[in-house]
Amino acid sequence: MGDTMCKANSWRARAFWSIDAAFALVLSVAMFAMLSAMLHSASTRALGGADEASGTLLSARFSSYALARVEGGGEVDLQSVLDNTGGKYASLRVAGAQGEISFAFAGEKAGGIYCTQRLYVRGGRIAKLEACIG
Amino acid sequence: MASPREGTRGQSSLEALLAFAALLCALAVLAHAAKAQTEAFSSSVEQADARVLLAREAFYIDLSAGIMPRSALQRNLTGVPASSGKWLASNRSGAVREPLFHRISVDADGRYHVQSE
Repeated sequence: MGDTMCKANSWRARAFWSIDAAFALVLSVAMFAMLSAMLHSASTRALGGADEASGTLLSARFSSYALARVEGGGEVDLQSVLDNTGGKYASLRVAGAQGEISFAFAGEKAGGIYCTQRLYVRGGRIAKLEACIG
Repeated sequence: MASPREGTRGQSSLEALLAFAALLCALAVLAHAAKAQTEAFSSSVEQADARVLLAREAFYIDLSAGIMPRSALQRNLTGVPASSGKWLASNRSGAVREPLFHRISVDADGRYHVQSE
């Protein structure tokens, strides 16, 4: 009698706590967690790559705009650039063979800042313009 | 009358059924979560794609506007200029927009024009 009850209890325990079922559940959860982490990483990477492409092209456009203004004899209002682009930081650095000629900035550095360096002729000499925006 | 052994088997099969139902519920929750994750991923990729495309279009517009300020630019771009003309918004993903260094507008034929400053 006692032996029969013991077998019945053991069978019930096996039905409820099957090691295979538990293992399948653990595997499912682990696979899901891996898939989730992979998707998160891929989307973060895609958005980061897009931000970088956008920032690089923005700094290239900003350098063209600044060059056009400088060559036209005008000045670049960096605060106005920030207001128009929604950026947080913008700077312009002009350097010649002797070193830095001028440097101006507006805003505060935060997050990704993208820079483009261009060469141009300034007063008959080659100068380097570095335009940063972010 | 059912023997004690048959009663125990019936109870066990009920428990197995309940366990199976619990497993199905867990799988349904996982599938639902996986669907949400996949949709979020798809949205992120679409947003990234729209951002890169818009950045290239903004680059093209600023470049063309700097070289040929009086000519009409290419039509059928995916970016839609804001009313101020200083922003380009994506028509694929509303949250994506790019600033422009030239003010532009679109005519009825869908051609982009650089506005004089």
